[in-house]
Amino acid sequence: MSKNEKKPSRRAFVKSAALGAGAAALGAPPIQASAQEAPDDPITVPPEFEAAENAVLPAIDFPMRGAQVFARACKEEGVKALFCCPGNYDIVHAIGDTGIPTYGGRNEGSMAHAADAFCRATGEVAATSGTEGPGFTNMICAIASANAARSPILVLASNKSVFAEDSEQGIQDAYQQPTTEGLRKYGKRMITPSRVWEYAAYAFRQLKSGVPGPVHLDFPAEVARARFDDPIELEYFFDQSKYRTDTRPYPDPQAIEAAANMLTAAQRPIIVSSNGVFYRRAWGALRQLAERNDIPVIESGATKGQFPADHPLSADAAPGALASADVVLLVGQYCMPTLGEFAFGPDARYIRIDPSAEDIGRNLPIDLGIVSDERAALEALAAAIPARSRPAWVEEIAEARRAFGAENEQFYQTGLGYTDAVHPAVIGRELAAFLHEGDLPRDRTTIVQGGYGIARYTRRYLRAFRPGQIINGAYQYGAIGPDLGYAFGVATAVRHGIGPQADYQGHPIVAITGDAGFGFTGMEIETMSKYRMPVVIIVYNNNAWGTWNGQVNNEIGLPVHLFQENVRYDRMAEALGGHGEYVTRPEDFTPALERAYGIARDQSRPVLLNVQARKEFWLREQPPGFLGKVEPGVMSYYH
Amino acid sequence: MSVKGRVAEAAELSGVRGCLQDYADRGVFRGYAELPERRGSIVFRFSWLGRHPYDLRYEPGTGAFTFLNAFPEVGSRSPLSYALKKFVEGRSAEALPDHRRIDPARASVSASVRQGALRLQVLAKPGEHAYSANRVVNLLHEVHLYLSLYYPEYLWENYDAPQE
Repeated sequence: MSKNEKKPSRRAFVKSAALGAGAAALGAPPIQASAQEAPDDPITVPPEFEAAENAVLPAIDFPMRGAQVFARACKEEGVKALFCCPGNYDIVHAIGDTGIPTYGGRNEGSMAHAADAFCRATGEVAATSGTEGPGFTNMICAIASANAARSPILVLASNKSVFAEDSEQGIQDAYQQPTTEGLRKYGKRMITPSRVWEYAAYAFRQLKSGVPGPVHLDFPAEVARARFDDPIELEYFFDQSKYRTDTRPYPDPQAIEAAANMLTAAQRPIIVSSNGVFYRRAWGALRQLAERNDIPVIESGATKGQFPADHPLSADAAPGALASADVVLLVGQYCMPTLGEFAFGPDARYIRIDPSAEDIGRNLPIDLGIVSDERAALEALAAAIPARSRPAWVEEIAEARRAFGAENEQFYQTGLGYTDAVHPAVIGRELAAFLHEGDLPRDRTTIVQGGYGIARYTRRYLRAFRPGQIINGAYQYGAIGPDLGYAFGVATAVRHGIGPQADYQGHPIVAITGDAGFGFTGMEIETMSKYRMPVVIIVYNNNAWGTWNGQVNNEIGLPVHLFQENVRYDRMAEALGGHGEYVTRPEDFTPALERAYGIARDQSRPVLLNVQARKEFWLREQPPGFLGKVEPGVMSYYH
Repeated sequence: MSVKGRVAEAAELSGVRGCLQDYADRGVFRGYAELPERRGSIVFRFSWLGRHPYDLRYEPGTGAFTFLNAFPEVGSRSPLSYALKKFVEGRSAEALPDHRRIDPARASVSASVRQGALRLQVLAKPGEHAYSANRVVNLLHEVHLYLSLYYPEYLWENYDAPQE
């Protein structure tokens, strides 16, 4: 910060950071502390939140700062939310002043994870911000996770002045761009102040076209604080129609004809629907194609629900049939598996639709490649392909679904046999029953499917019935612990009803994590609480990292993989303004879940179920033990 | 061997080569090679699942296809060996669809543990060598899927699969 700049006060920051926060926070009664605490000392949301919510957005026009020019670009490009921590004040405040919902959390990493999950739940661009130096480096894991998931997050980080950075003046100096190389789609240090709008154009061209991915911009103080008295001082200050296009690549008609012929001639074709179908909102065309030619659909990717799990052609929960497929159509599968990582057999032929010609043929040999926007290609295929039916193949899929369901039911019955702790099969089966088979409409609740070992179970039971319903937590990068950051981002998306979450606005969401994962982002319960987010958090507490069973014979090294036993994460939630419950017996799980959902819904705040398990559930001697998986489908999270 | 027998054997070998070469041509197998014949058997070498190297021994005279080194570190009396043998034996079950099954009228299938490794074998009936080549390759894939679902730790330890 230069000598001439006043540092914003903490109060001013909070006021700005709360702009756009959900209305549910307003007028809500103070959260009562648990019985152990003094009744006259409740946890309260300070009045600044309400004041910020009611504040009138300032009219911003020239003369403008560089940060304000950039913020205007974000607003005009439709950035839907900003997740940040204090720091990078110029940019954060300027974005908040445009009315873009701006949320402040406890850790820049968690907030960057929130932005990632927001994108995965909505298909829209979200921004994340951290201060120079440590704030930026705190975001690295989340940037890498978003990159692996192909999420269009806009990473904004401040810098000292170039002089300060060159000379190590003060503190928190770091040259950022090399740090994210290999972890993002595009990155740029802004250097010339008058090009700030042009830099924004660079960013949004990348965020809004082709295969999505993170864009990282860093702002030396010279740019963010530059003053422009008139638009004429800005280079390239054009409307977005001049610097990018929304037109898309359309498929070669001959390639579509070839694909239609391959699919129609196949005995057992299958469509793999992945990220690109979600981001291009191509689920209508997907369904049309599938139904016209009787082609089963299976999903992979960072977000699930492009094809409803209860559709007769859904192969999402039919792992036993995958090796039967003879033609596989991959659509929007940005992260390609290598041979053998998907369960299709050696005789399967592959068609791949992808907007990036450079990637077609990578990893998995293709028989036909189609460079195209996903929606355009699916629409063209649906129009070109003849109607046909495949009763035998559809029945094989149905039989595989039944077999998978029967196996899962068997796991559940086995899990019920453990009465001194809650088995993960009980959590998975009963959570699915509550969300999908009870009073709630099965498509209502958006789910953050996090955790590691627990997710090997819950993925088997949970289903997605509409786009954006399941956020596939550990997708591809496999980071342990982003889950509560993800939950905050998803809760924000649902609160504002963005994109495919519009019909579910305001409803509670459910997030699953493990005790290991909770350690990374657990403090964000306080963030959920202060913004009154209705989130049901299930912590699978087995007293250990998910890695411990692989080290069980390593006597000296084993404590590395273990925690104290019976840790009370529920009390931690209460101490942070949420509600907590401790569940130690299988018969108590569903009643606790019902209470948790009711509290989250009625009081609009986070509720944590600390579900006590034991680490030995991962041993083969305690069946079913640690579970494997096959991909694609409900169990997939690698690709 | 009679001329007729030699002609039949050559035809079987040609069918087998065609089947396996097709996998190589399609990019399923990498580094595909046919090693020189030794004592009446031919070894086809390639890498495939998990980039693991495989040797498929083929005996044109008997119609035996054997994966020699597909699954190392399997104890002869281990629960894993019993589970895998049972799974392999089940691949001829009538309940399986034809495209997933090894038809006992055309070939038989077995698994055994030798020198600490699981061997997969398909024994072709006369005239069914090309069919059996296809089936033994698919069998390897099916066993790999079975391990992925039910014995992930085996793939962590022997196929360098990620534990996470």
